[in-house]
Amino acid sequence: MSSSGLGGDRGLFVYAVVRADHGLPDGVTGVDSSTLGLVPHGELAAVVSEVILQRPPGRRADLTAYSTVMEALLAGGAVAPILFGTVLPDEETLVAEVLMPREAELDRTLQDLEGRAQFNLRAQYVEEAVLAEIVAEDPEIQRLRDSTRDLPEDAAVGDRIRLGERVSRAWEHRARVDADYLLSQVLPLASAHTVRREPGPQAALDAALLVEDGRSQELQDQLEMLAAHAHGRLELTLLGPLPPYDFVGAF
Amino acid sequence: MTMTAHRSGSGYLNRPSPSSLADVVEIILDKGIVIDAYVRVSLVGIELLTIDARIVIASVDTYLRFAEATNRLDLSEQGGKDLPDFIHELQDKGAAGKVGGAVRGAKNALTGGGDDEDDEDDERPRRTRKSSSAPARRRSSSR
Repeated sequence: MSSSGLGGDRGLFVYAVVRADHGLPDGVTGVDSSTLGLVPHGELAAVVSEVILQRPPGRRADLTAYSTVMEALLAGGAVAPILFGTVLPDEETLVAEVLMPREAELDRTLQDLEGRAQFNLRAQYVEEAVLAEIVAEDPEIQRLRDSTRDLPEDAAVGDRIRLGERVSRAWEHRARVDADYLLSQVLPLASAHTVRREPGPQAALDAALLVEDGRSQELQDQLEMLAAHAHGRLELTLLGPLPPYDFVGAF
Repeated sequence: MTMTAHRSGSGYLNRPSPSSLADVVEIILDKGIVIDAYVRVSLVGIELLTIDARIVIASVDTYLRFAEATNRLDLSEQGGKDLPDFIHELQDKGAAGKVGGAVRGAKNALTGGGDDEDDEDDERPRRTRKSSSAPARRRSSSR
């Protein structure tokens, strides 16, 4: 960045911390189509752009601009995302309050992220298939279902609640079992993982995996196989490679 | 987004590009390195934007739960509102306003539907989502 002291009406939108020699992506602009710049400190640099503080209120385009910058940065090497919407007054503050005091931990983070990317894996149930399984496997559920299905909605409320509860429990149990199985199949291919949402009827698994670049194809192949197996019952979705949003939050 | 949708092998694994707003929100919200509040300056509307985004996610979750509850209570094919109906009601209530589009996006993300209705401030070209098993969209007639 050329100007150091920004006027009082301007701030620095901070996207990420990268290595000082990390080039800026061509043709990618920041929020409000601003020009991206690097604020270096030692071997680190923060990726920033100037932003007018009293601008029109935040828009959806800001979220996509941030995300686009991050993905473009990922292509050029390790990137440690800064929480969306972080704005600092000027370069001096950025260096003195962030890059300098946190140099060691940021350096370690970039080391850990080098050559790796995040993949988000989601396994969602095909509802009818799972309900059919649950009904088929539990005679008590069958009984409750048979005794309530042809009654008007306000009848046999007690039985309906018992039915719903039993189905819900069975489903949650199933989700935990499925989540454990899926994780056991993919974790050997990942350097780290976080569970983004606990297993439940909505999704057996919603997890972020940090994967070495050299293993991402293997991960996809493995998931293709699992998806083919689970087809009709669980839908597997893999997003990525993504910037490692879920693997820098420890600070 | 720079990544390309890519299918290999059996093709059963969904590999979408996260182009809808709901996908982006879900990926980035509350993630990343946090910088102490006393160092930061606030940008008009950013807080609001993230709150809106949280509401979208929370609403979809809530309605999904209602939809599931409905199904649990009534396993036969009668009655019951499905998720798209709930989402339409949410939009019709107008509470959403500017988040309405995002709710649509969220619904697309959740149902894999192909009914892309984007709002005006998203000028970026969109990739088409896979819309294989999406049910035909029903307009709710109640107002």
